[in-house]
Amino acid sequence: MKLVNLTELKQHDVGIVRRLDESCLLNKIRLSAGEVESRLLDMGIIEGAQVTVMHIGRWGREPIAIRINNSSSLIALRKNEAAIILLEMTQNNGSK
Amino acid sequence: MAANSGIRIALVGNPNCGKTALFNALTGSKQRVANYAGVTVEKKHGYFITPQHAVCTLIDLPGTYSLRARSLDERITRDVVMNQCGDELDIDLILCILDATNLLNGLRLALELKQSGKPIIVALNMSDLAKNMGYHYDIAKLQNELGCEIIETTAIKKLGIKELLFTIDKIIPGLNSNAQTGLNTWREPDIATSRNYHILANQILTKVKLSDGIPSRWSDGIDSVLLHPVCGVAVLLIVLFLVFQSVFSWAVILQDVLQTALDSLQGAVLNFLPNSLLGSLLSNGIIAGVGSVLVFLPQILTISLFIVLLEDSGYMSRAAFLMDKIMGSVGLNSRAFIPLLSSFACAIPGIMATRTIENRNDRLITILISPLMTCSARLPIYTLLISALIPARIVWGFLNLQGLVMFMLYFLGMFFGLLAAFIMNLFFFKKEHQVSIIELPSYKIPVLKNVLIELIKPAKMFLRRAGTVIVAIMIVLWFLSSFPLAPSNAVMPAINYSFVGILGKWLHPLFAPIGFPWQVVAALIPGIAAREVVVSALGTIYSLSGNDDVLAKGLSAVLSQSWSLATGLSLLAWYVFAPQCASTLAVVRRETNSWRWPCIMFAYQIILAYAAAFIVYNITVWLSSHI
Repeated sequence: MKLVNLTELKQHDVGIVRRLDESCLLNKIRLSAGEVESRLLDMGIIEGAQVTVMHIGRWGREPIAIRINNSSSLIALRKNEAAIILLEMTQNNGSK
Repeated sequence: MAANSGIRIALVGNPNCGKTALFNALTGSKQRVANYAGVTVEKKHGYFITPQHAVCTLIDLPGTYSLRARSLDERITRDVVMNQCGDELDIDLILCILDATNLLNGLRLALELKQSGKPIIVALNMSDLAKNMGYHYDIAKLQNELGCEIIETTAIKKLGIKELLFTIDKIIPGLNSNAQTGLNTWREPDIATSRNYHILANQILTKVKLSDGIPSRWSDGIDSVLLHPVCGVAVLLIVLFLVFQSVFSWAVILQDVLQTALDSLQGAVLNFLPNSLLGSLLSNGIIAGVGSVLVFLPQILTISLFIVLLEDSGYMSRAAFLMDKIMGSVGLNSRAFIPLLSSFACAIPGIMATRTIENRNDRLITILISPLMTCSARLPIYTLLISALIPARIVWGFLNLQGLVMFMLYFLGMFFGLLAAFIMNLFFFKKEHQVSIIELPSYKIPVLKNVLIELIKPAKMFLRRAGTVIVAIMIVLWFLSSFPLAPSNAVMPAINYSFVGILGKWLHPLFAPIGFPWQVVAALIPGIAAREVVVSALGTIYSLSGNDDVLAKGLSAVLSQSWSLATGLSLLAWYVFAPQCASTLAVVRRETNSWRWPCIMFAYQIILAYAAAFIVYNITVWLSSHI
């Protein structure tokens, strides 16, 4: 099973969260271990959750707005946090 | 029954779950806003009486996802729920509000709240919206799983409120016996515990979910325009333009009405008490001083109205999404956008709006740069100086030169604000990575009553300040500019002989390198209280009188004759950066709970202002002698 991180997904792609891995942080200056992970957990980003990429910012492809399962609200993350979310892609709708 | 012996209920829930609407639906206008001791988080209390005549105090706590408490706001929520705020805030019952369209995160919080051992009632809010979207739950089963009463509500339509009150009545008799109160087994969750809460919440959700809804299509539809890389940015710019337009041209109409009323009041007092110290104190000190602040009420109301509307409709977080990259590139949190936008009206609501920023350093940086956003109080000075110094020419065919200069001044403030944030992040604050997450709730139509309740708050606070601190400062300044009295054979206006005049001349050498004549230095002193006072102070010093219009015209004539262009531009540059009025510094003191930050703010701004004025003055002098 090939896992990709959230920053690699394109708009409308869907994936299932398989793992949160803080060692994938792009920038972890003075951040206590587990901090990003627990923040993401608080927002409902947990193993098994379905993530749909709804919108991606224009410059530098961030922030990334995602829908978790089919909650009515969206969550927008910066690339740095998105990088620790490893997913299994289930639906590839992104433009080629 | 005395009000303080009633039942105390804490209202807890995720952000954006309709908490404020429920609070307003239960308490109506019976609300009181104060601050928690020691910290500066707003303490919002409301009162209501149940059908069985129990007096209840409802404590509205800041929205949170978990009791792990990341921000100042969230810490308050945790401390109140855990009874760590002293007896006064010892709560009897938790009213936990869940968003039925986004149940998982709410359930997780409810499970964590249960650990506190406190009795809980759950309000399943936005129920009718959820049903419309297709989310259906087995309420009886959910009640069993959570082990507490659940009432379906739709707070904005006041549905389910009666049932909620009946349920509270049902629970009250058992409250004082220890039967309902369990042990507090809550501990700060580590990652594993956080996960467990989630897994448990997920299991419950799977059991009670009858059908899964489809997230609002129209909300997604709006997003595909408003978050579109091109259209979205265009709409954001139009919205920002509208906000500014309304603050600077529409609110001004109301402002003129207020000003006229104040002027005639001032005139009436002077007529009634001519040539007396009391008359002078009342009219020139108090009415003029408080009035000069009061006239900004329409602008503050206007910008607050926009902020409430943008917030309640859900657009504000979209704006934050679109601005996130710019904010992030200078090291600011995406939540800094709203405080900075508010600072264009007045830095005070802006600084208060920084409370939602979790990271302390991010919050401090946002507070420190917010006064660099040109607040509305600087407008009178800009207008005066520009009309005195800049010719009303049309450049490049369509641009008014004066308007262009005005825009430049705004832009300079913004540019240096972001630059200052960048520099502070780079050198002065411990480099710390920030987790920046924005929740984009689905769009909602703002409810008039809630908008009004939210509008009254800043207005009240502003008026209270104008009525206390500013009156005091105005009396002191009036004293300084009226005493010692001018000798009977005085040839110059009385202010020249006063402490302000003396101080102005005494401080003048300090300001000579940036080209300020002593009159300007003297006018800067009352300007500390409120910036817009500088204009009237200059008027007094150059012995002009009359209403503001005459004053402005007369002043700009005097100024364009007696000041060099260099002095004028130097003063403009000074005011782009000059330290805020005393009330801003006082708010920073209150918000940061130490004198350190207002001192740092004052120091860095005065250095910036001096440097900018020095550079502008010397370049202009050099240019005008070489060209």
